[in-house]
Amino acid sequence: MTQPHASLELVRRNLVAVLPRLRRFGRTLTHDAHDADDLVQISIERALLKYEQWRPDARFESWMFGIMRNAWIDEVRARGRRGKVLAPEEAGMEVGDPTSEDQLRRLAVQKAVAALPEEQRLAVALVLIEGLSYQEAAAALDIPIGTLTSRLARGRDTLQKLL
Amino acid sequence: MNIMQFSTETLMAYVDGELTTDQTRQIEAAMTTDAELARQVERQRALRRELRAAFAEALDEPIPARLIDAVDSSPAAAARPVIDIEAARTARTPTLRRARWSWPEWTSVAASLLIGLLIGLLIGRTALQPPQSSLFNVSEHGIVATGALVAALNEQPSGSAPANAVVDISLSFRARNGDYCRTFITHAGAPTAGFACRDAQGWQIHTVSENPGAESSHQYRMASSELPPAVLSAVQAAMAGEALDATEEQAARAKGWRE
Repeated sequence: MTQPHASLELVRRNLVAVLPRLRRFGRTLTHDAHDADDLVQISIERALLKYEQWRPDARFESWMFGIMRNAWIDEVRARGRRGKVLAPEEAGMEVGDPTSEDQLRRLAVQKAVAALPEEQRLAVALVLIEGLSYQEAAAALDIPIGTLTSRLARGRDTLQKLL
Repeated sequence: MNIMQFSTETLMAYVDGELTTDQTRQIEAAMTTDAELARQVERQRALRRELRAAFAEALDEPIPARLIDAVDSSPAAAARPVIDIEAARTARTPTLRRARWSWPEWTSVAASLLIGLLIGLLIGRTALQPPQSSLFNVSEHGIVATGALVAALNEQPSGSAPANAVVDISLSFRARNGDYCRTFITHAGAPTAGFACRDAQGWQIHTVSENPGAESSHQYRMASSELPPAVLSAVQAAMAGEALDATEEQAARAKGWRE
């Protein structure tokens, strides 16, 4: 039996279901809620163009996270050429007036994540925040599992020290 | 006790739900006698919790209409020049950015249009079938089970559906975050398979899939064992440990599927 093609409708339906999670992953990538939504929008457009590449036996969000990561790499390269890469000090999302202890804490965690080297941040975001398995995260990032786990371990170490 | 028997990598893999059942049992047994080991595991768990809490807001906010529009746009329309994030960023005024972050523009008219659109997406716009849409409620938070689907998820033991049931439940399991989840197949309209996890808001639908093998002209009834591969792989990825047996399932049901 040949592998069935994903239908465009099925991809659309899955996109709607995972939109909140794409937005969350976007924020761990970009540190900015609006940049994150721009990135999600670009990634949706890319996904619709190549919807046939999604294999229904692969988890949909893993496929989307891979597309988002590639779109982000393209964006960072473009920013690099313009010399406008965000400095980590600017990073961290606006969360309204950080009045409560909880809000301050969340802000501190966001900043700590933002300060991680990109490759560790991606591993942390996919496994610890998005809850992907090692295998899925490695596939989304297009790296071997051993590379993923060592980046994850380093990212965790840094976060434990910072927090 | 002997903490050196587990490497840091092994402890992390344990917290991430990546160990085999045997390895998991060994660690859990050691944790009962080794306070330092238990403390290390708890630190790793706390980090996971904190990270999820720090980025949880994105899940609770209304989804901007432009993203819904993007999902609904034709692939050809998407082939226009790629949006430039930096340009878009510059174009936004600071006041607008602040206002949109706190309360996205969200009129009731826009919201009802959006929900209509989402229901269309969910059940396929070519065949609007009210029986099926009565099982799902689409909101800005995602898709939540309603009606007979909620009743089945709450009450129906796995694998016990009568022949004419609207919903089959085939198995129950716990997700990595501890939530209880159950797989379902609905038979109202086109068969739809997926799994739902119980959180504070209700049964959140995680993956939905039509039966990819079914011809619409044939009224095949998907058997419980015939979950589409997309759903099965999603379940395998989401599941922590093994599926619940009948006793565990009954205990979970008695607790209302919440801790």
